[in-house]
Amino acid sequence: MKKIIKINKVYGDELHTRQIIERLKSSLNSEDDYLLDMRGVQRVSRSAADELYNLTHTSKRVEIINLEPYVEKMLSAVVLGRFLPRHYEQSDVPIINCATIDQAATQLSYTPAL
Amino acid sequence: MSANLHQNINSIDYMLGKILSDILVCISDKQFDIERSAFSKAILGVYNAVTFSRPLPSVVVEFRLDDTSVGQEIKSMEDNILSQIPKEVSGLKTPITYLLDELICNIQQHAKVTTGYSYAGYNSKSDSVEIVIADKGITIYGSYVDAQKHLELIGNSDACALNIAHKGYSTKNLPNAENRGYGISSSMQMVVEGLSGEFAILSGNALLVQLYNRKEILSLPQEIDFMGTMIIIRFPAQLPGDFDLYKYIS
Repeated sequence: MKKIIKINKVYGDELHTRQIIERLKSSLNSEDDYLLDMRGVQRVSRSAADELYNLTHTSKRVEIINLEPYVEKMLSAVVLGRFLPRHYEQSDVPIINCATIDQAATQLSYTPAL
Repeated sequence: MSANLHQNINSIDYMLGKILSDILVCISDKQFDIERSAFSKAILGVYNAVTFSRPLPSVVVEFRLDDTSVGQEIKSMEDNILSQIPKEVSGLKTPITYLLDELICNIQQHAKVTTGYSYAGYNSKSDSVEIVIADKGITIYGSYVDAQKHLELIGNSDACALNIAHKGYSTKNLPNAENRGYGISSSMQMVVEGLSGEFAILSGNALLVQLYNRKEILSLPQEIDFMGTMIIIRFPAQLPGDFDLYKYIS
């Protein structure tokens, strides 16, 4: 028999941090199977979604059900990101050494061309 | 639509680059108390609080970084912005939430502090959303040093550390297995390309600014050394018709 945890009741309707999922993870008993009921959880950050992925893919005993639309999209984006090749911006940003405050201020106070 | 927004933000007479330029001069001249906008007060106020232990201006909130407080603070910042905008802008809450999540989680993960600073507001003159998120933590350079990651790329330079942070280099151990290291780069791309806005990061004595047509890192003179990290964001309070949040996530 799987234990159902209503995430909305325990952690609220928005999951913002990695730590909140780590807290959830530490509350789970390794002997039991769990269903994480996400109904009513309207928002999840990318970081929290990433940790949810970790939680469900490092343990076969944890499943997620009843995803709200935004949360489902965020989890899908995170899963997709896992399987895409790691992308590093190639180009360096030019570094301008400013010896004085005036030089830095002048550098910033330009009018950009359209 | 996007082109029009770019024109709008560029026609604002007091753009982020000019605001930062003005603030640098104020810091240099120690003219801290002159009248200025809430956004400028917030940037300068956080700088002074972190650098000189001066009291925070009333427009800035210091918040705790535990889970409950972070959730409350993000909601409060969203409400503060959205309640000031005179018209309802469909879909604006989602990118605001994403940005706040990313930037505040970054502080939690890397800065080694228990509190952060925030300012979130709407500027009716420029019809723009303005956000400042800051900490008095170990800086981006210090974060790489603390993790003993990419030391060969950063040398002894805050500017080089900002450069690789913008490229997406993570301080974590599993850069190929987790969605880590994208916080700054994805947020910056979303603000500048997606929302036609402006983005700046002050960390240590380096300042990264990305505007519509310009991206550069200033290695600042020694008298400016911000012992923490401050993210400064400004974007029009109207979404481009083709804006797609998920383009910047995966």
